[in-house]
Order: sequence, then C-alpha cells, then structure tokens
Amino acid sequence: MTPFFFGEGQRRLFGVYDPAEGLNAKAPRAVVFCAPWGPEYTFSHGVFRRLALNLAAGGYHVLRFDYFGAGDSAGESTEADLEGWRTDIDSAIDELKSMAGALRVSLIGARIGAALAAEAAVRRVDIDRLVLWDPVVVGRSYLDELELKHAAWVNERTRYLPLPPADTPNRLCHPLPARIEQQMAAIDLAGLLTRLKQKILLVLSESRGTDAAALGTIANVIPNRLTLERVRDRPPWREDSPEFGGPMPVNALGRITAWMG
Amino acid sequence: MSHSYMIAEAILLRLSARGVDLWVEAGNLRFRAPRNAIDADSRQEIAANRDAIISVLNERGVQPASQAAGERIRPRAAATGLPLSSVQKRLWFLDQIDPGSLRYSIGSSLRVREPLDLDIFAAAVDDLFARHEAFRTRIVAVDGEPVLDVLPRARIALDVVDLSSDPPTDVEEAVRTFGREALRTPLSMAEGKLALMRAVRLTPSEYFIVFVVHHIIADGRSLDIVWRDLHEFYHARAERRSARLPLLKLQYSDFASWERNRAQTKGFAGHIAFWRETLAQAPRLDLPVDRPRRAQGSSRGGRYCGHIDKADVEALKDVARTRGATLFMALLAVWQTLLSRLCGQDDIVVGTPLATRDEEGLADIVGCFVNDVALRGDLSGSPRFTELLERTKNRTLAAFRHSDLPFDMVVEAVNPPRTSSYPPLFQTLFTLMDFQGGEDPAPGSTVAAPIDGDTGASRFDLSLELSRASAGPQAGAMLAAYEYDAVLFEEATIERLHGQFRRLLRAAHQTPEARLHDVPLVSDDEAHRMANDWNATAHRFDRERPVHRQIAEIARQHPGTVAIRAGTAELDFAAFDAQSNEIAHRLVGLGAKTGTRVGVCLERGLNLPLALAAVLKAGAAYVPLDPAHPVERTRLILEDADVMCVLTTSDLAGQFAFASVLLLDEQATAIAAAPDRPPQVSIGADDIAYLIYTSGSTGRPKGVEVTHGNLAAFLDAMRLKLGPAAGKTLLAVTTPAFDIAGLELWLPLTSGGRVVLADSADTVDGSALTSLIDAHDIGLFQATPTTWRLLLEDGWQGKADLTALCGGEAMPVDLAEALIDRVENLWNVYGPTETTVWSAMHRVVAADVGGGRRPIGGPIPNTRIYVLEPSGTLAPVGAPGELVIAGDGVARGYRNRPDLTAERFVDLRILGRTERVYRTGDLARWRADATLDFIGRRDGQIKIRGFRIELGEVEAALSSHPAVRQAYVSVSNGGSGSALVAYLAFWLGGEPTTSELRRYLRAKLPDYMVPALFVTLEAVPLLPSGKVDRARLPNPFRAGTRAHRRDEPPADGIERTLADIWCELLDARDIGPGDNFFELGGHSLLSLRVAAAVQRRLGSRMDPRALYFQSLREVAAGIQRNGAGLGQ
Repeated sequence: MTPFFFGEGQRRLFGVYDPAEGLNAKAPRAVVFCAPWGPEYTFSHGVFRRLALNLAAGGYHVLRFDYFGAGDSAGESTEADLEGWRTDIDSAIDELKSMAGALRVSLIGARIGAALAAEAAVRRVDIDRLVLWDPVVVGRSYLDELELKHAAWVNERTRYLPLPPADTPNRLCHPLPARIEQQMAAIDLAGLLTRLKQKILLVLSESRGTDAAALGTIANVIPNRLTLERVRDRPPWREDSPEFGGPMPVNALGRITAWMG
Repeated sequence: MSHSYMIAEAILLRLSARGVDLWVEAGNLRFRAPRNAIDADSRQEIAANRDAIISVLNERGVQPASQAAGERIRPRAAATGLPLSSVQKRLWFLDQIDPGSLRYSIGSSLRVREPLDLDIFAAAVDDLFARHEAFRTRIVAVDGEPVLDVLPRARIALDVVDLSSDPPTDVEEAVRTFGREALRTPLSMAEGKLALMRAVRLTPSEYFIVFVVHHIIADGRSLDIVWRDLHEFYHARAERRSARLPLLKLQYSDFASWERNRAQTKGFAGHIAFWRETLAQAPRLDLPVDRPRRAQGSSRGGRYCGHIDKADVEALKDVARTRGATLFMALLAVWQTLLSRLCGQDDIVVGTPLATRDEEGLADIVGCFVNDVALRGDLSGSPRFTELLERTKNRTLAAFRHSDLPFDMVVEAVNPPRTSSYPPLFQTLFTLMDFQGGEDPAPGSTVAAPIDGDTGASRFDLSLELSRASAGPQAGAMLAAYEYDAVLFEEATIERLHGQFRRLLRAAHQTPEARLHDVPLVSDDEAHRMANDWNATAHRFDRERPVHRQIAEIARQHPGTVAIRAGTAELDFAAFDAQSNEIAHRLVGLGAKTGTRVGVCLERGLNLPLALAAVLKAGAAYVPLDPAHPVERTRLILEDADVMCVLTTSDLAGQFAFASVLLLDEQATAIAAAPDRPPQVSIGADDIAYLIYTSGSTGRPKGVEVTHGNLAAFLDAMRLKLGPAAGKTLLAVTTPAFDIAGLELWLPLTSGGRVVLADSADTVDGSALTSLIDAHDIGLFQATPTTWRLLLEDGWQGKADLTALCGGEAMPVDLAEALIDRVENLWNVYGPTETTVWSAMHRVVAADVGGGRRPIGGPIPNTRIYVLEPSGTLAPVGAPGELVIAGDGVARGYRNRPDLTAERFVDLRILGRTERVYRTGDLARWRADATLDFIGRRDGQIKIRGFRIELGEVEAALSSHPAVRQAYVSVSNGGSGSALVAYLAFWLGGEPTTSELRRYLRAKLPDYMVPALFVTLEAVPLLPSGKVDRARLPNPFRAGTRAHRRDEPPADGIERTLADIWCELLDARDIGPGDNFFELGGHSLLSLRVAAAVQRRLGSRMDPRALYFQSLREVAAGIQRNGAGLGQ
C-alpha cells in the first residue's frame, strides 16, 4: 500500500495505491475508486479499503483517492465542487495508468461517486468496466434523502443540547455549499446509462426504494452490457448503531470481486 | 512442407505482388493479370512448377475473387456514416494525435511537354473527382468514432504558377523546389482537404504538375490511376468524346464495409491465433541513434538515396532462387542482419506493406489498399546466410499466409505495450517495389514520376524502400531510399548504414555459406581510422622507473617541500622518503621482497601513504585493506592474497590475529631506528606493485595484479593529459582499497605536488570538504559523482582554478551541468581496475550537457581502445559493442584465477597485429568525431517491457528537478512484471506530486523511462563506499497487509470446523488460517453466533472476544486449549 500525492498545482490529491499481487503476464488491470460524498465516505472508508485489498490480491492495481476538499487532499470542503471532482477522477485515472502501465482502467463508484464514474465512462475512451454501487440516480432525490437523514440526526442530537450555529449549510456536519447542492441536483444517471458502452455491474442493496426500481427497468433495456446484483447487505454508507460505520458488506464485496474477475 | 511446395508459394507470392490473380478451374491453371505483369521468365517458372502451384491453390481453396461465394464485395447504398477501413482508422487516429502531420502525404508528378489547355485540364480534374469517391470523402467523428461521408461533388483548386514569362535559371532546381513545397504543404483531415494539385507553367509547351494526397484515401497504385484517368479525361474533353475508362462497379467505401464484415467472421480466428503466437513478446528495435529520443516521436524527416549495383542484385537473386526463395526474402534477411548487428539484438521485427487489391473490381479504383505485415526475424546463433535465408523464407511465407488480417487487428490481438515514442510491433518499414517499367501510366508526351523531394516528416525511425525496375532502360538496377527521423539520425549515419548494407549484401551472394555476423561492417579505411588513427596514443616513457623512485627523485630536488598533509600534521618530501625507507627496511627484515605481498590496513593519516610507499620500496606488492570493510571480506582477501605481513596499528590489529603484523604505532621506535636510505631491492616493470580486490559476480572478491610498469604508464599519461594540474595540491578522499586512490596519492607525489589527506569523517561531509578545498588551496580533486554531490548540496560555489575529475560511476548530466561552471576544467574519467585506474578521459564542455550523451572521450596516452561486435570484429561508428582496452595499463591478471584471467585478458587480432586486451564487459560506441560514448554494462542492461533503459539517465533527469535532493532509480517486480521505481529525497518544503514529477520527466525522457512509482525517503541510504544500500530501500510492491498466503487451506480438525462456521455466517468462501473474523466482515453480533456454533459443534466454550485480534489459526489453537481467551 503506497500513500502518495498526485495532481497538479493547488489541486494536490491524496491517493493510496495497492499494486497488483502476483506476476501477471497479461496486460495490467487497474481500477480507480470513485468515493461517495461527505458522511457516506466516512462510514464506508473501511469497506473500500477491504475491497482494494481483495482486488489487489486478485491481480488488480487499485487506486483510492480523496477528492479535492475531502479527506487528506488539499482544499477546504467549501472550495470543492462536482466539476472539480470530475477532473480529479480524470487525474486519478491518468495517474493509475502511469503507475500500473495500463492502457485502460475500470471504475468502481459508490453513491454520488457512481454517478461521477458513469460520467467519466461516457467522457473518456479508456474506461474498461464500471461498477455502480447503490448509485445516486436522481440528484434531487438524493438531496432529499440527505435532508431527511440530517433532520433525523439533528433531532437526535438536539434532544438534550442545542447544536452550535453553522456558517455553511451542512448535512451531518459535512458542509454542503449551494454550488455543490445545485450540481448534485442536476445528476441524472438514467440518461447516462444508455450512453455507456462498457460492461456495467450494478450493485443494489435491497433496502433501497424507488431508485432501485428505476434502475431495474433500465437494466432490462440494456441487458447485454449490464449485470444487476441485488445484495442483502446493509449499505456501508449508513451509520448504524451500535456498530457505527456499518458492517462489512461481504456479499457485495464478493460479487464485485468475482465480477471484476 | 516440400521444397516444390515452397517454391510454388514463393512464385504465387511474387505474382500476387504484381497484381496477378491465379486460380484452378477444371484442373487447369487460369490467371488474370495487368499488362506486362507476367514476363517470359515468369511464364517459364509457372510452367515448370505448374503441378505444385495447382496443389497450393487447391489446398488454399482459391477461387477467383469474383466467384468466392459469400465474400463478394458489393456496392453499398448509403453515402453517409460509412465505416472506414482498418488502415484508414489507424491513419485517422494518428491524425488526431498529430493533426496535419506530413508523415502520410504521398505524391506524384507529371511532366507535360506539349501545350496544355488549363481550363480543360481543370475540368478533367473535376471528372477525376467525380469518378473516384475517395476524392469526395469527408471523415467526421461521431461519438468519438470516425465515419465516412461521400459527398456528391467535390473540387480542388488547381493552383497554377506561371514562370514562362520569367523562366528560372535552373529549371530543374525550380521544379524540385516546387515539388518539395507541394509535398510539404499540410493537408487537413478536419477540413476535408485531403488532396492538392498544383501546376507550374515552365514554357508555353512545358508544364510540371504535382498531385499530393493523404494516404488515407490513396496509395502508390492510386497515383498511377490518377494520371491514367486524368490523361484520358483530358483528351476526351479535348476531342469532344466520351472517356474510355474501365467501368467502376465498386468504390473504396464498399471495400471498407466488406473488410469490416469479413473481419467478424470465424475465419479470422486462425489468423489471430497465428499473430498472437508469432509476435508474442516481440521486442522493440533499439536503433543506435545519434541524438536522444524524446517523449513524442519526431515529425522531422530526412531522406537519403543510394544505389545497389545491378550485378549484386542479380547475384543475390540467383542465390535466392536456387534455394526456393525470392529476392525480397534475401534482401530482408540481409537487412535484418544489419539491424541485428547495429542494435545488438537477434530478434528483429520489421514491417512491410502489402497491397490488398486482390479482390475483383479493385484494380482501377483510388483508395488505400495497403496492409502492413510484421515480419519477425530470428538471427540467433549467428546463422550462415543460407540458413538465415531458409528461416526468413519460412517465416515470411507463414506471415503472408496470414496477411489477410488487418494490421490494426493484429495489434489489438497481440496487445503490445504502447508508448508515444514508438509505433507498435515494428519501428522500421522495409519495402521492395517492383516497378513495371514497360507500362507508362501516362503515354504520350508526358512522363509521370515520383516527386523529387520528401515531406520533411518521417513515419518511422528508419524506413528502407528498395525499388527495382524489372523492365525498361533501368532494368535490374536498385535504388535504396531511406526515410529517417532527422531528429534522431545524422545523414552521415544513414550514408554509412547504406554502405554497410551493400557490404553485407555482397558478402551474402559471394559467400552464402558464411555467417553474415562475421562479415566486417567497416571498410578498410574505417578500420584503419578507428584502430590506428583514433588510437595514436603512443608516448615514450620509462617503464623501469617505479613510483617510489620517482618520489625519491622529487625528494632529492625539493626536500623541504611539503609532500603530505593530514589534519595538522605534515611531512616534507625528505621526511616522507626517509620514513618510508625505514618502514621498508623493517619489512625487508620480516621477509618482504619481490613476489611477496604485504597488507596495509590503516586509518587515513600520514602513516597510510608512508606504509604504501614502504611496501613498494621493499619490493613487495601492497594489498590495501579498508578498516571499514566487513571482517569477512578482509579475511577472504587475506586468504587469497597470502600476505606475508600486515602493516597496521594496534587498534586495528585484532582482526589479524592469524597474520604477522608490523604495528606502526607500537613499533615506531624500532622502525625509526632502521636505516633511512632506500633498501637495495631490484624491481622490474613487470613486478607487481599492488593487488586490489574488486567484487566478483559470485560474491568472492578477485584480486587484480597491477605492475610497476602499469602504474608508471598511468602516471605518465595523467601528467600529459592534466598538465600543470598534476603538480598541484590534491585533496585525497578515496579509500585506498579503491584503485582510483592510486591517482590521489601517487600523481602529486611524483609530479612535485602535494597530497592533503582528508580523514574518514571529512570524506562524507560536504561542509568539511568545502573547508579543506578552501583552506589548502586545492588545485586538483578527484571524486565519484556521489562525493561531488555532497559538495554541491553543501552549497559549494566552486573554485575557479580547480581541475575536477569525476569517475568511478557514470557522471550524470545534471552533475556535469552543475560542475562545469564551478571549476576550471572538468574531466569525465573512465577505466576498470584491470587496466590501471583510468583508461579514457573526456574534458567536458558545455555542448556535452543536455545532449543526452555520456562521453568518455578517447584513450589516454599509451592506451588503445576498441569497440567490438560479439563476433570480435570492429563495430562500425555508432554501433554498440564491447569496449576492450589494450596498452601499457593492462594488468597482469587475477591472482589465483587463471580461468577468469584467460576469459577476460585475451589476445585480439586487429589489422594484422595481435594485442593483449582486457574485455571490460561495458558497452560503448565510437562517434564520428573519434570520441567514445559509454552505454552501460553489457550484462546489466535493464529492460522494461522490451525497452533498454539506463537507470542513470532517469536519475539524472530526476536530479535536475529543483525540488529533488537525491534520486535513485531501480527496478522492482510489481504485479505486471518489472517496473521502474524512483526513490527520492526532497528539499524541505518542495515536494512535488507524482503528477508533477511525471510531467517534468516526460519533457525530458521517453515515457517508458518515466518511473511507475515514486517513493519518498528522508534520504537515500548509502553504504560506506558511498554507493546506494539497496537492501535498505523499501519495496513498494511488497504486500504489507497480507500476512499469509491465501492458498494455504485451514488445517483439518478445529481449524477446518471453525472456518466452515465462519463461511456460513459470513457467506464467504476461501477463508484462510491467517484471516481475521472482523476483517472478513464479521461484527459483534455475529461473533456471538460463532461462539454458539463452536459450542454446538466442538463442545468447547469460546470467548467471542477471541475473534477480535486473532487469526483463525490462533482462535482454533485457543479452542484446542479449551477456553480460548484474549492474547492466547
């Protein structure tokens, strides 16, 4: 596991590289993770670490990274936006191609990261396969969902003590500037899916609602390239008491690792 | 495969190249051919081999293309969104990368010597465009994919220049210029400008017309078609009649569609399998370039034309024919041999373009009907030419049998590593054109010809196009046209290469049973120049005047001059001479004499040079031992050297318990009582002066025996080369166990200079070295690159009157750049221990910096250097070869290693004389200016994905980054094979990201030399010698989080049962003994269920908390002990 910084100028991005294990005589295989946003990223961090190790053991070069304004990358969370994260994903792909000597990379995206990964796959010609894990399908719905979670969280937290005032709108203490909110609201994954030429694995946790139905419909439209997997695991981006951070979604990890081959 | 079968295949191949279509009908051989394609010789050949030809055709199931059921090309209906052919897609892609590149412009010219009506001509051009859809093609990108639109109409402007009123003085030069300018006019795929036509009116009845077109819509045959059709259209209009041209039932886009459909049939699976196997691991061609290659291939091309005698062509053709091969195969064999020798590779891939107009209906249409085929040559074992010809024939026939697969599909199937610096699969093109001299494509008072000029671009590093007229007045002669990358090569290099090609070609037909690898590539003149003129280094000197006598002479002349300074102590020459004599007498008393050896193990100080000189005076050979070396190494050296005594001090004597010692400290009084005059010892030039041990490849050090004559020659050479600097004050920093210390100690003392001996701590302290240089007004300093960097990192600003020597390792370019302005003279010095310290030296000048060279100059006086091919012949200028050294510096050999001595110290026969030489194992090349370039170790070449890489070059590029303090590059084995890893230490506050480093490096290096990983360190760990301690470098590919091998299953019994329980609860597979429950996805609630299951199945109690931090094996062990708890 090699931590390092990539990116140019002010956009200094933190990445963790797991090299492929075992000598692979074939062309190098590589995968970049496109993380969720905010609290969902925090809760699922360990899951992606485990997935990275599994894939590295399976012969993949893996790159996980923090978007600008998130984690250990440069920038404040209030300085970030989706447009910038799109270029971060491009930087990560280019960097991993250089490190692994790969011509093409696969993308594994979760939640908002899945939508961004799908956009990258439409935009670029060097994306091999795509894994979309509980993707954000309709940006507005996602924001509504975050709003509800935040409200429930606030309700819980303020039962005994008031919350201090926040300078920036936030969801579960993660700043959500208006700019980012607007960009998230514009996400429409369904329209993107039909434009994708790559093979896609769509992983849906069973507890999802209407989005899953919509995606299932799409899956019927483009059956050849899309594999739909419904898993029983609890989604790792939810905070679940008393475990905090969610259990390890072994089924989902196993399905993804197996599909990646 | 029978001989007659192969002859038949060869005949069919040759005829196919001429556009001849042969098939079998009712047992009879039928053919269709362009006019004059089958000459009398061919008819005779066909008749003589009729049965074999029929057999081959029957086996292939060949039918005339028009009758091949289900494979006929059909006209398509659509005019837009049409697919491109495979070759068109590739050319389109290349244009996306480098828009407007001239690499793929082709052209032809027409000289018209009769009045020309330009209006009618322009109308004829319109007719031409109307006839051929290729000229009405527009290529557009839809969702990133290119498609063809055929426009109903398209025109090009006929640009006309009228010189008739003011004709140029030199008409032919004007014509050439006109043609060249046309060829160098960029075409634009994006704008749909894929062709241009220009005319110059020289006189009212003489015109010169050029037509330039992008290869994406035309090929060489298309240019002939253009002139033929244009001629007919012009005369049809002039005569007010219909043009009489063959009806075109198809257009190029029909072919493209057909090709795409055919590629998806199952029939291509066999071709794919063939190419995957044939081109697996195909290496890059590492041509010896004159200038370094950069990240992106160059588009500056050059062209050189040479001739090959008709007699040589005919003779080679005869040799080929008697062996059932074609002239093409013979020429290819010779060409691949030349490449093999120039590149030092015996696996050579070249490409050749094949025409793909075999199908019916394609002969008369304009389009790009070319498919490149990769031909891989096996030159291993230095085969005889006849054997090589056989290999080439078999491989070529096999390749051509599978040539239906479009080249793009071959590349996709083989999937070689890609880089922007090299085209995939082959980097050089080889073409044999067979012009039909009897068919003038534009009969009448017009002559069509290639444009006399070039595009100024180069498709490949180097291409060779051989054209041979098979009829007409030039029949039999051969023109060799080389297209080359002018950024990489000088024209003189290509000219030399042509001469080498001719030489090999002649040898191939004169002595076909000989090995072409043994044929000298250099002419007699070149050999004389390299072996004699460039080695004219003879200088008279007295071999019988050993070092200690030279010092004694200086002492007589300048007794009071300070000779040695160490710290605050110093000795003048008189004292040095006297004290060393005293020690010598003591050694003689102990038995030292000529033929014996004395070990010297001392800390750096005055005693060190005294002791070494004393041993020489006693007639013995000194064996320097570094006190910092591991005891085991010292023990091995002493064992091999069989020293009669060790000169040392009491603090170091402990490791010499088994040897006789002379303690310079404890026995100082006794030593001082010895005579201070020199002992009477007879020493000859061939007696051993010192025995220096170097690392052996097996790990056992080997002792190099250097004689007094060797040392005297070396010192004489240094005085000549360095001039007055030899007699200045020198700062000595090198351990005496490294032979270059010999220069530091003996050169000043034998030249009237002074030695300032730095102590051990100072030798690795840049600040201390700076102080010493200033304090003692040092005029001469020799150091390795590592030590020079210590000075620079300390901020040393230089010394204007300092002569600097850099050696021991290759001097990085950035170091040269930093030093050159800080010193008066900077010398890059080269030499193995086996030829006495240095054998070549180069005074570095500003022009050397940034040029990518690693010059080591020429041989020093009384030394001769040769660069040899593996066959032992002289390598031509520019070609890599092993550097061997002859002359007065060549040591006696290795002590106690007669086998190794015989292997490395050999007799070389060169230009009628025999010399004893030392084979260095280093690769070098001569340049045309008589200087040598160091390439690297012959046996230590690093190759990554087929590319030869000099790690030092990568390090130099990294070190030039302002933020990089130290850089070291090595090769590690990652998941995809070998990868370059850079270990970097940065200046504080200046660490760039990996992306920034990559961008920086790509501006300096080809991308295959850019490291895959960059590992940040506080400092690059070093050994005491100053070399990198590779054992302490972290391996970034080592899996740090996996503590066990996944393929080890749980042991039977409790482990197995526990693993089953975990699998059930975690819905997992393949749980190993090293796995942890929680890392696999378990959680607290599940851990309770594990405990319950263990109770149920094994009857044992298990604390669920045992699962927290323990592996399956550890938990099972705890269960075994009945009641596993934390930490057990």
